Amino acid sequence: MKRILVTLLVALTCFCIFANGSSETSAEGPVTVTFWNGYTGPDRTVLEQIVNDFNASQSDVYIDMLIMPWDTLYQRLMTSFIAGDGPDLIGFNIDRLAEYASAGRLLDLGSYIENSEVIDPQIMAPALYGAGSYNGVQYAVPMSSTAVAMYYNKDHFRSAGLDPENPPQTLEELFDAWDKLIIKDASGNVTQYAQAIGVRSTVAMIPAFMWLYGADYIDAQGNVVINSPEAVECLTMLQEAFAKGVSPVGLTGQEADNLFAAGVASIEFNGPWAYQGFADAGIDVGVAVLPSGVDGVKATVGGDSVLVINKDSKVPEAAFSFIEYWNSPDVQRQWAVGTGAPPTRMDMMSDEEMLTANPNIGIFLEASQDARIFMAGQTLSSRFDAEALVPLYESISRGTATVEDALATAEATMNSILGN
Amino acid sequence: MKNRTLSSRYKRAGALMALPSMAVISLFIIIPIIYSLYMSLHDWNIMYNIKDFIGFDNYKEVFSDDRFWNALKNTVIYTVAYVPILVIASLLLAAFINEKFIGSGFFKSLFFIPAITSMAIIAIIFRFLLDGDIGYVSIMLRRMGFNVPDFLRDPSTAMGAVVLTSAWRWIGFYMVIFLSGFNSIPDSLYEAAEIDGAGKLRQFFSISIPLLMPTISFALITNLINSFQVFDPVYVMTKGGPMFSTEVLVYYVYYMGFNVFDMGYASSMAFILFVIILLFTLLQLKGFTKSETEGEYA
Amino acid sequence: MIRRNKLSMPANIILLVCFAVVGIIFMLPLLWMLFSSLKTEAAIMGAPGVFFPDDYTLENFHILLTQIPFFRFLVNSFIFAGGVTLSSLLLDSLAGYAFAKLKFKGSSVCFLIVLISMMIPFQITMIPLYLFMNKMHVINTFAGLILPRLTNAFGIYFMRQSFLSVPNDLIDAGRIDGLSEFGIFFRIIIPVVVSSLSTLAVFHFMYNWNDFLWPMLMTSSQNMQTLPVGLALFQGEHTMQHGPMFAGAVLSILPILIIFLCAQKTFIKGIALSGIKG
Repeated sequence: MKRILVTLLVALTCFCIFANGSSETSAEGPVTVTFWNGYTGPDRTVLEQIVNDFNASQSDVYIDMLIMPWDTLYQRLMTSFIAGDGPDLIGFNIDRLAEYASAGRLLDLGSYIENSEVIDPQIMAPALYGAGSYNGVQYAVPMSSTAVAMYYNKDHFRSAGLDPENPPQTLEELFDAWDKLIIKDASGNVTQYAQAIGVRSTVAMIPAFMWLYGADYIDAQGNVVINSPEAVECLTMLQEAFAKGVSPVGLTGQEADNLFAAGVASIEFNGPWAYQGFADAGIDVGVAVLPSGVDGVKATVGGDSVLVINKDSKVPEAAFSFIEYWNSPDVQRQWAVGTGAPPTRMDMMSDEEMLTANPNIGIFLEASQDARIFMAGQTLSSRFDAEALVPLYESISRGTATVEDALATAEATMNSILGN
Repeated sequence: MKNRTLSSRYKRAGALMALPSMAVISLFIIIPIIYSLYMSLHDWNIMYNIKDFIGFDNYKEVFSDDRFWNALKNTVIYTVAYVPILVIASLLLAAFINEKFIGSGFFKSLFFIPAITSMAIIAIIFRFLLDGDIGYVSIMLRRMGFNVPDFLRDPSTAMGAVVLTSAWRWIGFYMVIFLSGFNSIPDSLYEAAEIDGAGKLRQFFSISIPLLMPTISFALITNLINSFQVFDPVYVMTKGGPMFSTEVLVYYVYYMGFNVFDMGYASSMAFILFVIILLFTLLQLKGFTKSETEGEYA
Repeated sequence: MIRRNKLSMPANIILLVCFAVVGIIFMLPLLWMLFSSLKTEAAIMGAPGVFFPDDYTLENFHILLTQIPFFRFLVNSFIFAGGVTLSSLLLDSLAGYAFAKLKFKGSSVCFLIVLISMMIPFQITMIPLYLFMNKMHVINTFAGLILPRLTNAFGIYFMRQSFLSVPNDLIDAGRIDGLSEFGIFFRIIIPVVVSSLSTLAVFHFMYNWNDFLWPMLMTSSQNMQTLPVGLALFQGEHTMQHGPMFAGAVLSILPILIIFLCAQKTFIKGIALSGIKG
């Protein structure tokens, strides 16, 4: 009966060897490029269509795409990088670029772009293209250039006596609308919130307010500048807003989306990907650029995602051929029409076919003119968010700390993260 | 002489039988553990390929880290709340089901269903159900006139919600385990007690509980060990929030390892956790040995 | 099993009613999921206080099945959970038997190692394990998924407890008949502990079917993903397709529910035979 054991061990070994073989790419047939990104939303189907089209359009390169939520993507990415089996092509958020670029995980795309007939730095969306360079090296090419806009529920506006075709254009008008939109029941519980404001695992909603007030987080020299009079003013406003029931406290981005989709919140700041979900949920949804801020300042959160190539990729040329395909006018039109995200190319900004097919693109295009990239160039952006900013927003919105104390704590935490 | 060769033959067979398992465990558990102990003595950042030997500095840093103590406190809160709720509730359910009323077999299967449902799915459901504004549970409770908090977004109730969700998942499972314990108690004991005029409640406390002790201690030990390692419900339901109120140790280890990429620090915390669990188990070793000797019934 | 203390009819009815109430509350989350999967997106979001759908629709299932390779995930889950269960049953029971009945030199140390390895949070060995699997080039293969789970410390402990309750006479009888130790194990002992094995099989299958972290880490293409991973990766930070998500949840529970309902009897009997009985 020892034979059984021996057989088992032999079988196991064979199994492993067999399994090994299957993971190697064969010499013939197309080159396989593994491609990871985080487009889990309604834009997923558009992206899958584009990849399928690409795979069908030629026989040299095959894109093997894996879509996963962004936070999973970053956690997976590092393990696979150190193991040396990372994906060839990655679509990730621009605010994570510095982290991976500084760690030397990404391929310098300079020479590829120089020799490219499709990617011309002159015509790419300037803010996002510019943010794709780190220490003077171009590591990234735009994937989706977009900006956060203001979604609002037209029915709520009508019942509150607001003009659904004329959303708030200044902060004063926004605050005025808030007061009219909040509905409370007899016992004082809010039954309709004015605006769903996410504070964690979300697109940057509070930073948009901070910028509208002229506050910022980190300056160009890398100094923490969060503790400013402007920030105090902005967060004091938000603390009062949360206290009177403008938004529930402690929302994640998904929960904020749910509230808006359920018709329980009247306004939400979000990107173009959210539109379809709101429309499917039966909301009569309006989209507009964010109101202008103090002293008429225009600002919103922009950026979204870029395409990068793994430095250890064995097939960088093939991966780059997809980057070129992606940024070609036809594909950009398809992506824009399908998702509402503006194209990455400036030469398409007045593309009639695109603008008529999806009227939202015009609004997101306008928004992207004023878009700033949150924590651009910061290698520690995710730690700032988790360890300093989320606690700051949470304590302010819950009123567990004064604005001054909370800001001082956040400033100290950010400095200590920088010091590490 | 013959006996000796015989017994050495048995021993050889025993060693041979244990060999594959021991090889797998050494290769895939023990060696990685030793490796991570080695990591914990380094300033080891996998993002930047930093690897400097720093002795016990990580451990020193852990002990002065407020967030570590908070996570340890939350782990203890979770354990202290979860284990008794689970054990008592499942024991009570088992006691009633054991009365074998009409339909008890159906309920036995029904209560088991959450245990075969994955935590990721349970989280999707509960996050939605418990939403303070649009969650069905909150809406119903409010209609009944209760003033409900925003369960998962309120730091004072979030841990409670996580504990109850986990308990909900596993109650049916431990109920089945207790039921099989009830089954092995001879009926004659209950009959004798009935003749002595002992009521159901009395029978439960003086017959069922003492005879179920090995099962109870099994449930306690495995759940203590598991609760100290709790990760899944937190990861999928709250990500440690709101305001770190549900951040448990393994979640913090995971955060340091996979978000900050500070493997040295993460490993040192994991080791401290391991030592805590080991101490617990040693204290409970009595329970282990007891259920072991009781296992030798025929 | 002989029914003890036949309850009176009123007592029966009281218990039945109480359990019906408790049971409905208990099952509310899963029922809610089931009914929500049959609602339109507008009904899920627009009327969150309504339990039953006004119009039943299978649209969510249709969307789900067209957007993700559900059956591929299902097959992967079966191979992973099934493979682990089969190999683990064999190796666990072999080792458990050795620890219970064939104590060899160093067996107590080995058993201690088994007990200790039960106390290690998986997250701590995850990175070294991943690197090791990478060296063996088995990432994104079934071999990589299954290898570290070929045996399981809890399974060894569990089977050892079961074997302790097997009388030594059986083994002696086998030896007198001239059977080898392996022969005794496979022909005499295993048939005695079949119900423990089936219990353990359900444990292993359940655990691996629902496991998330390890299969997520080990798979890097959609073709290899298991059901929970595929479904979890389907929902993102800002996803608003709730209906298909609930539909996926319903579909992923079904297979294991069927397996459980079939294996239920032996499963419960097996618990009684193992060490964790009263």
